[in-house]
Amino acid sequence: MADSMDIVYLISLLILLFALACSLVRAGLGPTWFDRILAVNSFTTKSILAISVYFFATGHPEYIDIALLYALISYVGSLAFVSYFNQNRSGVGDNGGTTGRGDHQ
Amino acid sequence: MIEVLASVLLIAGSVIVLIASIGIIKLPDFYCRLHAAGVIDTMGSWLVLGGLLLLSGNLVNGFKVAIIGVLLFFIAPVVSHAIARAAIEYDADKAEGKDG
Repeated sequence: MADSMDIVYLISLLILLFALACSLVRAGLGPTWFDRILAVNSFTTKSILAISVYFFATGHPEYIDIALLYALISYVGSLAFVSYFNQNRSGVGDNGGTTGRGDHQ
Repeated sequence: MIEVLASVLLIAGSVIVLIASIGIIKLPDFYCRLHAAGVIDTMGSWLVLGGLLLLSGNLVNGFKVAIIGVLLFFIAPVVSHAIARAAIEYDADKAEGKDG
């Protein structure tokens, strides 16, 4: 059963790596800023999955703490991009870092 | 038997993530791409993490995998909502080609 599980891990990792490449393509040629933010966010989610599958495939599932920490810190990056973009657009420069609708108009 | 079920979950989740990525590339509009990334990516990550949860030997590793799943379940819709709201405020359809 171990051999077939290795094949399953390999297929899953290859598919996830191809999906990561697709996200990078969209991050490269996205016409707007939002496409790039969306692609980077999707990239982080897929890389969390790829890290988890890789550590299970190599027989060290205790190292999945790395994927856990990455899941904890990755969304802060995307929210920071969105917040920074909203600040930049409004021209005020300081709205407390929120992305609310009416608090800077 | 558990390994067969976990294999099916892993391959299904990976294929769903792949479909989401092809959707991110091929769909024509920003909001369509947001739909593909936000909806299907959550489902694919849940399937992959469910497969790993069946394969985790002891309780500690399974608990870590479950924590990752719960975090992604709450974080991914929040980030998708924030990006969509910022795009609606900025009017992303008019911003085509206006980059940098």
